[in-house]
Amino acid sequence: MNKKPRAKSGRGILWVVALFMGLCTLGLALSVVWINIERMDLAYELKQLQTELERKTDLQAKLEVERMNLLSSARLRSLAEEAGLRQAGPGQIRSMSH
Amino acid sequence: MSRKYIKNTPGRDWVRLRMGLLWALMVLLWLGLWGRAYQVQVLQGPELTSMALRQHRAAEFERGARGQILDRQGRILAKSTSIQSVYVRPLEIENLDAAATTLAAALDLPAARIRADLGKTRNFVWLARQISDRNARKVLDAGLRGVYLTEESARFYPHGHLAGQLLGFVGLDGDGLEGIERSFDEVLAGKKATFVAQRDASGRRMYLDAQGREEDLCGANVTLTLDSQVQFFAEEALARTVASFQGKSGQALVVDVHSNDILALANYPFFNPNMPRTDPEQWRNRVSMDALEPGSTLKPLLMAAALEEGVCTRDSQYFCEQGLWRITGVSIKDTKPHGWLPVHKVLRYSSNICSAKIGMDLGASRYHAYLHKLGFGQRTGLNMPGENPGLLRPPKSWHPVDLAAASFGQGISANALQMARAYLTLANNGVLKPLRIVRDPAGEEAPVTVLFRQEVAQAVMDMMREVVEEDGTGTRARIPGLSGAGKTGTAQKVTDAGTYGDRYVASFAGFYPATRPEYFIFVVVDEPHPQHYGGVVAAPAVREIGLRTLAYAGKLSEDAESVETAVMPSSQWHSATAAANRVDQEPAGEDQEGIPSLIGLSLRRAVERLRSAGVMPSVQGRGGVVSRQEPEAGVPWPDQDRNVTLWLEPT
Repeated sequence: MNKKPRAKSGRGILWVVALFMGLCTLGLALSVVWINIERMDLAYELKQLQTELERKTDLQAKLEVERMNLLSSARLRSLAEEAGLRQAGPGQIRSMSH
Repeated sequence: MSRKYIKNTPGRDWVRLRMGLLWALMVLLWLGLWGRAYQVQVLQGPELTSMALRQHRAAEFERGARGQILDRQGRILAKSTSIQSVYVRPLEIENLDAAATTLAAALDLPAARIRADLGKTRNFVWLARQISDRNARKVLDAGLRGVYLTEESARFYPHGHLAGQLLGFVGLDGDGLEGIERSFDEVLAGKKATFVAQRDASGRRMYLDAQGREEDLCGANVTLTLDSQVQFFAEEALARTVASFQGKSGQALVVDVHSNDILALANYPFFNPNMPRTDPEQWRNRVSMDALEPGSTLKPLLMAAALEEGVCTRDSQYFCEQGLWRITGVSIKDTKPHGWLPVHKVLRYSSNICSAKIGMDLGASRYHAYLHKLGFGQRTGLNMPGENPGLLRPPKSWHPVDLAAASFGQGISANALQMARAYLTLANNGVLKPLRIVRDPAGEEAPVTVLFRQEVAQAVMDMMREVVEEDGTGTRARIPGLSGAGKTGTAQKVTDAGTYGDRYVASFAGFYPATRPEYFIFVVVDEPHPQHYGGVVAAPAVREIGLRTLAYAGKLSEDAESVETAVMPSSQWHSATAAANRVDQEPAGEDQEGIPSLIGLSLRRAVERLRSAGVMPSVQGRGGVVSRQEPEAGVPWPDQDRNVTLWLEPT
């Protein structure tokens, strides 16, 4: 008399476990898909940032070259001459340390 | 009852049948699916996987940026940046004439040349390499079919020709071809690496993992000992000197005496590494590649060797044969006739005859040994491409006349770096140290050798001080306010026939200050004319470089009074310093009105007003406003000794 209900409840648990496992598998599968999509999105984003970084680094390098060119001794000298400045001779230089 | 009921419902069998068929179909479908999965995953798996990889992945080649070349202050001397280049696929061009016109305007190139390139039947033609960003934008805006832009790396030298021959240049592919770019190519060059990138449907590439890309592929920087400001001073003075004496070429070297760091290494004519496709003679680094006969600049080294060996003392007397001496049928002449001279005056007046006699007393083998130990006939180890080791023949092959000639710097040859290293031995109390041109990466620590006793080195330095500060041959190298030391050189050049002709090399090697020297400056001018004496041609250039370098380093005397008293009453000296002192000599606008009232003015304004009268004031106290002045306002300017003292008070 007691065996039948026990078998029934055993099968029920089995079904519940199987359902749970199925849901878990589905959940994991969906997670993998979601993670892969996220990974692709991140890769796109990273690529964009990388391109932007390269562009800015390149611009910085060009600006540095331009700055050095503008600050070159030859250019500063010609600007000084245009402004009427001349090289200080001996006795014309004062060191202001204060 | 139940069985009867079932029998009486004939539709149930059909349902079962349908269910059975459905199950069978499902099973078949599942079997089919699993079968196909097995086929795709197991049987064809490896082949399909490799096909997918080929489609989704692409190999990407990366090369790191080339390192920078910096001067000792961190100023950029060479740097790589990316730059656009234009190429065309002629077969894709639609309207050839219109495209040629548009591109010619965008690239500032002749339309005929563009048209010729577009008319080629190849699939790929470079139209213009390394164009400016502005031109690249114009090409992009034109939106022509078959015209493409691609990014390349280009090397820029922001100071133009400054140290051009030393820096060298790189090829279009970024490899160092000359100068430091070549000798330090392994350090500067960016590393190469290939990575596998993921490719999407539209061909965009991305990385799904790092693949070791976090590693820095950029080349390392190279920091030179050069100071671009001192280099500029040296180049300017050298260019002016070579041009005014119509020389063929010139070299200048400035070295820090304490560290043996080369602060400037200049060649003239200049070479701009931004435009390397010029005459190869222009990118020749003469400082290391040209070995010239040093002439009288070698005499201090002879003196040091003779003093060290005890052959003579500073005051030993030698007879200078009144300017003409014949030895084994060869005449040796002095510029001016002299009788008996002590050794220090032999150097001061640069007597060839007495130098030859000292050399003969020293002997060929001993003199040769010193020259060899000083580094003549050997490369300096500075890692400069194509360095000329010069010529120092073995003493066995020296005849008496060869020894006599070598005593005043003829018959042997040396490059400017060898001369600098030898001279610095005297300034460093007889210790021979290697020169240095690269600070980072630091090279191996080279051993130092003691060649001369300290008193010998100081005695020779004092003799060289007499050359400049007394009535020697180098008076045009004097700087007011501090003493200098040096030696002139005027070497005859050998003609094609192997005899000495009428072409000369003028040089001057100088130290500032003479006592405890800070800087060694060496200037060489090849074939100057009509003047060819080192004291006339090269000494003023050394003076100019020294003056500006000392001013730049804040080591010039501030005391105008001591400057005036230091000036020797020599007509040559006045003509040499006239240009530098022209500010002082200009007539002042306020001269007629006497000393102006400066009380209440800011220090800056007061200094400006006094400057217009050619006066630099002495300043007392702290602050920004003048509270008192001496002499008082309105007092007429004295003809000499215009001294004004200002007392300051806080604003």
